[in-house]
Amino acid sequence: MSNAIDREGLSEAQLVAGLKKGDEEAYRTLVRRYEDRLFKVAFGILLDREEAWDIVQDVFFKVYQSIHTFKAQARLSTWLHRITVNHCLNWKRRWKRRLRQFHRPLDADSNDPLGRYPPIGTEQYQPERQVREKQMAQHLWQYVAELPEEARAVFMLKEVEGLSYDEIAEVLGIKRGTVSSRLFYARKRIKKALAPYLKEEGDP
Amino acid sequence: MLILLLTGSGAWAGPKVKINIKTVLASQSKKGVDGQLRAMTQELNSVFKYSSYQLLSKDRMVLNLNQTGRAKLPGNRALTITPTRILGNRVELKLAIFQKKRQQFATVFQLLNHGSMIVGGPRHNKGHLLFNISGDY
Amino acid sequence: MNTAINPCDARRLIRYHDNELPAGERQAVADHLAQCSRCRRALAQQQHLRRFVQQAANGAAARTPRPDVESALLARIKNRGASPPATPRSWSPRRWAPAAALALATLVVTVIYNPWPEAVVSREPSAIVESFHGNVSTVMILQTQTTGQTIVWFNEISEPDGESDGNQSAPPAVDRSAHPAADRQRSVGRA
Repeated sequence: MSNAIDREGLSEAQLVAGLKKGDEEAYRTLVRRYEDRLFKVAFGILLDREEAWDIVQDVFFKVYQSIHTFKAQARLSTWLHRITVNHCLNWKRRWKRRLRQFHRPLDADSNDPLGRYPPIGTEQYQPERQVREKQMAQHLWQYVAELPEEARAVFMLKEVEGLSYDEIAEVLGIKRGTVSSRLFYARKRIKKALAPYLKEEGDP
Repeated sequence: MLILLLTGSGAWAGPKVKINIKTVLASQSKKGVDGQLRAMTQELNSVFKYSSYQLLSKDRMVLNLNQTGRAKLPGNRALTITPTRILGNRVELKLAIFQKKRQQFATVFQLLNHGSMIVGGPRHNKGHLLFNISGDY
Repeated sequence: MNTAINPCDARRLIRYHDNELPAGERQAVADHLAQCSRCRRALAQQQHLRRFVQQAANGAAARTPRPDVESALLARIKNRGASPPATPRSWSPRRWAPAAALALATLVVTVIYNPWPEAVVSREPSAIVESFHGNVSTVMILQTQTTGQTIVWFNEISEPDGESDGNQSAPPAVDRSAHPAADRQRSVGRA
């Protein structure tokens, strides 16, 4: 990182104060703290790395544009999640996405659909494990792709971000009961993806 | 004498540092250079591209070490300067610029004896203020 | 609560897994799990699915190519120009908590600028700057070629009052390409 000072110790209140002041360091901290988390949520909805990173950048810029509307008592992460999901589910993007996917289905660039792997010779290079992981992930995302995008949002916020039902309801502006039933539905569908791997993990 | 200067401390008054501050308005919207500023502006023209330099005020002070001098500047501003010690052929100075009583900028520097430094540039009247600070002891 | 009627309630198990049950029900499920291998298996599957999704998501995030979000954001903000509504915004390295950052937070960078990059500055500078700090947006330290005159230049943060003439840029310089621009100053880092 370019900055020697580690700002990770900043409390949320301090971070928000810095963001409101337009402090560059605060924005750097914001990115470092949240970029991966927001990417994962976006990716789970969009299933496209490039687009997910675009969304992440748009979200941070949106923070810059709207931070003056953010009320100090609110939770920053809730706000960030909401912006992220809204950007993903924005209707204009969806149309563009559908057009793109129509011409380029999910597994079209199957050579490297999820990005490059560690190069040969590095510690991280473990071909068998990585091939397997790749297959598992492929499987998972294929099933996630069959879910409606709103269900994907609930699923990712729960499984990856660990939000509670109430928090998810707040982010998405839906009822707690809706969260619960969407989750149930999503998990039922996705368990099928896991079926072959679950067996291998070994039932007791 | 030199040794005394170098070890100057509390009891004895110590050297007197003479400070001159010229407040100049540099702008692009006017033309002409104040006669008193020719030498300075010649140097500045190698760096800046202002078309006019206008001398607004001159302040002169004689300060002991750790004594603070104050100059009023245009636009609700003020400047304070404090010589703190003599280091060889230089005098260490603390300078602060205030706007509306709030400190805006501060710097500590070692000024060559009979040398000058230019600090700038708050905006003023469609131009920028710069302060030519010279000193000797 | 019908623990007696349907102990293997799939939905309740899911809520247990999601930590959404009140304490009493939570305990009831835990007690049940101790006795029911079917439910234990179902719970293990839920847990496995979660780990699986997290792993896949982490993998997607870690894979290259990855953009430099930090730099891209700052560049985008700087190129924006006008400040967003309500609060005046600027890239002022302001003082703020923690206290340790006080002295550092207001610095930008020290640049010794020689307007003729080829020439060697052999003259002793008229002033040696030891330190500076301020509630300002950028600071430049220059030294003229011929006499070694030191110039310390700072740019004010634009104020919403009458003093501002809208001109926030550095003083007009002879050779803009040699002039350390605000962007470069930022990338050099802090002193």
